[in-house]
Amino acid sequence: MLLKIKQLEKHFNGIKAVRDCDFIVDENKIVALIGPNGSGKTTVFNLITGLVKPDKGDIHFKGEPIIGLQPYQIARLGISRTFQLIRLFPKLTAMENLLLAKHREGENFLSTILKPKHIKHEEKANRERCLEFLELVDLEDKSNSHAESLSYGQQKLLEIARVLATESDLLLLDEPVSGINPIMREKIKDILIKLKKEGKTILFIEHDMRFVIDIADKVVVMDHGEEIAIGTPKQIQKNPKVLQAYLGKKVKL
Amino acid sequence: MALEAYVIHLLILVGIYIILAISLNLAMGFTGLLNIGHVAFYGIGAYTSALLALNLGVPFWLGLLVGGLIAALFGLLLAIPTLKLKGDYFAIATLGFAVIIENIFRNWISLTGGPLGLPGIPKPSLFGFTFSGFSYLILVAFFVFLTYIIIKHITDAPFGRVLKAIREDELATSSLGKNIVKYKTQSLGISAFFAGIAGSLYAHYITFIDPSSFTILESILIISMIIVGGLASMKGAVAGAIILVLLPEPLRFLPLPSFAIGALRQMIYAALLVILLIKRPQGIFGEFSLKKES
Repeated sequence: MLLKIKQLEKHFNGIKAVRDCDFIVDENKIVALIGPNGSGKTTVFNLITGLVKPDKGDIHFKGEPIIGLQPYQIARLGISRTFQLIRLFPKLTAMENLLLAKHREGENFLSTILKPKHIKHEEKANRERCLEFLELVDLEDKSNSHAESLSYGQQKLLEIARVLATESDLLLLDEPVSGINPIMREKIKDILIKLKKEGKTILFIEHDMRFVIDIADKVVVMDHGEEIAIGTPKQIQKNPKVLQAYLGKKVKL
Repeated sequence: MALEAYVIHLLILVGIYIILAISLNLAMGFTGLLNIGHVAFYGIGAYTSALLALNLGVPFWLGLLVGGLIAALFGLLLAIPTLKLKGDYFAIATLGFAVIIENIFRNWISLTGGPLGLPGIPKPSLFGFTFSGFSYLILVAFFVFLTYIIIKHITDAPFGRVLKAIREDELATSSLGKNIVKYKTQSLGISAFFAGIAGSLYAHYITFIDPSSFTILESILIISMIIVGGLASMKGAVAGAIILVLLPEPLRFLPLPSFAIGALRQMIYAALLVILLIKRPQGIFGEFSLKKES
């Protein structure tokens, strides 16, 4: 297993945002995290990426505990994410946004001064690689446009391209297809399936059930901070607890 | 002849302010660190280099370098307690830092001479040649050029791209594996280094320094320069420094008492800033507006 979450718990001022959360993400699988609004899905992402520290519980990535590490350290271990509300660098170009996904020597201050040739070389290779990711999301002609000048959908795609450009082993996508048109939605679906074939592991949050059913190997359902069900998309659809969380309880009159 | 000396004097001041503006721009324009205490690094450079020359007879060239390094050291020290602070709070902390440093200059009388300052700082010399007047201008121009290319190189490099990313969105930058604290510390340190160099150039030019040259008003002036020129623009910092140093100069030739000229100078700065921020909030060359968008 690539990611193991055990007994995770997080309170915010007495409100339990996440409790008793246990699940495993196996390598080379696509796992969906679903649940009604406010059920704690994004908090789980924030806990995994180190933006929020848990009150209790463990998170292991590739067998190593990652709790207590800084967000940048976790990112370097190979976990990258997108955000529910897009977080691009608005005044930087699409290309620059992607280049930032690469961690490399050129970003080191001393190398900047001492090895300008080496950095130029590295930069050129990175540009070529990043262009491939831009092509993947059909944004190659926007390479030199500022991120803020792109449409909502394009920004969303650029953020996905950026998380891909990190070439991390585990990708966390927070609502990758919300607000995306149906054609692009299919495109993202294809991209994710292709990534899985290339050996990547994906954990994503999504409200679009058809999208979830189409690509997820496993679905984790959360409600009120608790994980209430785990299973294949088919099993989940028939689970009474899940139906109740989404549709409400039957009331006897 | 007097006019020539006056023009050279102005150009030397322009040069020193260009170094200050470019260096502040690295921290404030590129990295988004609203540093109001830049003047403290300028003062630390000036005092370090002056004290070394006066007390130990250290030559200008070494004093200049040490002045820069000590300023950079203070930049790193300032980074430790302040970098976890967000925007406005960071600004207030740096303001406090500048006030503390100014008070040290003013009150550590045995070292700094207090309000009386340090007179008799030697002019730089090289193989028996003493720099003053036009040759000092050449010297300053050399350091302006050096500062410009080094900071331009840094900001154009991938390193500079990370600084800009931090300015745009810290959280996203750290989630891409960048150590934000490290980058901010380095940015502040480099910025302070060049401010220290500017301080040393100033001290050995005027040959006298006192705390009144390093008050918070000086910081405001440097900040105004990069806002007028345009944040995160190299050309902008240069243009801003030139404009704000030269703009009030014609006032000298008006038949006004000197106290009125001082006040008028401040009013002109203020008016210029207000007009500019209304008409062109991103500055002359900038693309990065202080206005909150949407």
